[in-house]
Amino acid sequence: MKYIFSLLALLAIVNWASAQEFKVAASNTKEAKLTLQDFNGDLPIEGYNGNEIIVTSTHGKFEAPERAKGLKPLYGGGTDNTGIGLFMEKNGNAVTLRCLVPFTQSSGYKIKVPENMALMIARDCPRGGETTVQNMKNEIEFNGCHEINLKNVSGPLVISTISGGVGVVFSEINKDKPTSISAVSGEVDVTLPAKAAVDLEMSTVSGNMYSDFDIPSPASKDMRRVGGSGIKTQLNGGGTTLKLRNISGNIYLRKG
Amino acid sequence: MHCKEVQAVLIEYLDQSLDAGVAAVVARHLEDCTACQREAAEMRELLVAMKNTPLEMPTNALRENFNTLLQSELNMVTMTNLLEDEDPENAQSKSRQRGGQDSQEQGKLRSLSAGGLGSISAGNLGGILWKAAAAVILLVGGAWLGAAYQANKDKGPNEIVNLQKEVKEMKQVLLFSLIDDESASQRIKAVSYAEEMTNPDQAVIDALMNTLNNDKNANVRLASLYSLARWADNRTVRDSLVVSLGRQTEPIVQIVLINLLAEKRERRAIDPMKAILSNGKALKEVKEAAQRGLKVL
Amino acid sequence: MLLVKEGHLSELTELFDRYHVPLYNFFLRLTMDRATSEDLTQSLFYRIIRYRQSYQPGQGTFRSWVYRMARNIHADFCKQQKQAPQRPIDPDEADLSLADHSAGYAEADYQRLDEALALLPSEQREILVLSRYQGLKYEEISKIKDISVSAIKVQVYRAIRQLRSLYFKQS
Repeated sequence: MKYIFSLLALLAIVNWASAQEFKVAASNTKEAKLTLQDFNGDLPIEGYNGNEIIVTSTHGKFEAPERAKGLKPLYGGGTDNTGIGLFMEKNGNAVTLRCLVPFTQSSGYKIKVPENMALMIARDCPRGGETTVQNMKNEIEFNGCHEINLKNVSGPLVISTISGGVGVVFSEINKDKPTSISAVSGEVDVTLPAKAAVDLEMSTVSGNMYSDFDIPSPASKDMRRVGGSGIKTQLNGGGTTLKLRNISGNIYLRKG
Repeated sequence: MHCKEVQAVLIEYLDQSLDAGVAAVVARHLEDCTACQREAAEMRELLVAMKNTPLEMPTNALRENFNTLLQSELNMVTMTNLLEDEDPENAQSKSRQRGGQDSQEQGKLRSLSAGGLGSISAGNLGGILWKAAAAVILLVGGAWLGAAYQANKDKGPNEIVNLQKEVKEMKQVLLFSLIDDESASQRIKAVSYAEEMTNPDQAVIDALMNTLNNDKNANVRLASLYSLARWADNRTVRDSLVVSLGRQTEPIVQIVLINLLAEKRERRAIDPMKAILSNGKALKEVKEAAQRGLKVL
Repeated sequence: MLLVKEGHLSELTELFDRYHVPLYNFFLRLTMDRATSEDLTQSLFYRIIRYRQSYQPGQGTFRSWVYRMARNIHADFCKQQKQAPQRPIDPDEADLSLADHSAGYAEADYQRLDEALALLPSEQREILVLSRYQGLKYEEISKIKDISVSAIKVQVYRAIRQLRSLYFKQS
């Protein structure tokens, strides 16, 4: 009896869990790309060595009430074809996930992604919440409004945010393609491997810049001209371009 | 043999490319002569080290750029062939003749053109359409490249062209090929090819302006602005920057643009700055920048 | 290469596969700068794409044709550098040291060799890179530089002696 009871309990959990989760097959290659649009709330994204994109709803209700039996959930922005408030579209190697839950309702998701996929995230200002990304090995593009933190990524990164800060800890830095990070009022805090070979450009209009890398003091005229203070230099002999720009916040560049 | 003579053939001796007879004489000399022995040992060390120095791998960017350049040359060849084919009848037979030998490397465009001409064999219409299409693509994508290509075709085989001109040309090819890339990082790279140009063509300025006003990524727009800022004293560039301030939607680009135009004492920027101040939706930081800019002007 | 000349552009990819690493290293030993070497290699392949029609099989192998262009590109680059404010080669900064290396010869030794090489006049450096690092035959170099094989032997001899005195003087 006891066994049957726990078995039932287990089934209930599994059933509940599957209702909150959505999986889609994706190729774990550099050519594959995942686009995330209009997500609400905190959005933790984690790369892993696998072939599925796994989205888990962390809050928000998607179990339909008894009355809705035989009916489909409807949203203003499109059709929920995932069962958890998202619209999914797959086109060859490209997967797009768009959140349909309006920003006036609370929702939250965490996502596991094949680590070699490129990632593109667009979140506009009304959709609050922090974005975190870790363990990804390809390009990440982020157009957003709030805080974003990335850990154990290799880039290239093209990140812009308006009112939040940007934190990045690079595992290594992509040698072929440039990385560019810009913020308006938040702080930009980047940790690079001590041996990273980069052509560095950093500038802030009214903030300050700090680093423990060996950076020669004379600022380049080129950057001065565009306002604020700027530095253009090479680290470890130079290589990939790394641009860090801020308007009123500080820039921190640390040795990892 | 004297030391001098031995030393003169030492490299060939170590390379084992000497006559057996001479080699034997050298070997005998080396047994007795410590000075030459030392020289031989040091030479050998250097020769071996130079031969064994491992090759270093360039970054992947080299291959990617090569592929881009090759692709644009392929398109160019296809375009040129299309434009050269005056008479559609002639063109048809020509492309049939060529079909076997070069459809493979001329890629999609060539096979398309052969198919197109074949199916509309009725008359001139197909040919005209194709020429028109080719001309449009040439105008849009690479009129400048077309001119450069034609000019270079006529040159003698051994003429050495000016490296600077060629590098500029190459950077333009890369810039135009990558500026619409799906990857934002690639687009930043495309824009950066303009950074090293001292005297950009109008086509380059137009492409950068288009990116500044329309690219969907703020970082790409910003990179474009930094490239353009270097030519801000150029009349047409300045005009377009003033216009761009009125249209710009990315806050960070607006701020940098305001600072740039204020520093240049550009009085025509006053109106767009005032417009930003009275815009309820504008970001606080942007308004502050506009206020500072107006004070300067 | 003959195929390429006749317009078979896809063959160029094969040539790229075969030659881009040696050519990149050719420029690397001459300029001691990775970014510059990539730029120059890129320029060279651009030239190959554009001037493929001008290759004359009668004048030597494809390899010697390519290396002749590589020399021209490097020479043009040096001229340009002389006009622009020059950045002297600093082997310490360039640090071409490699992670893996052949047995018996340590990374530090390779670096010392690079330093000595950097001190040679560029003409001598070039002849050593061609004949020793890249392993081209004297006959090929003779075609590339348009001088006799015996003149090349003399140049190689002088260059190695010079390198030897620089290299072993340091230690």
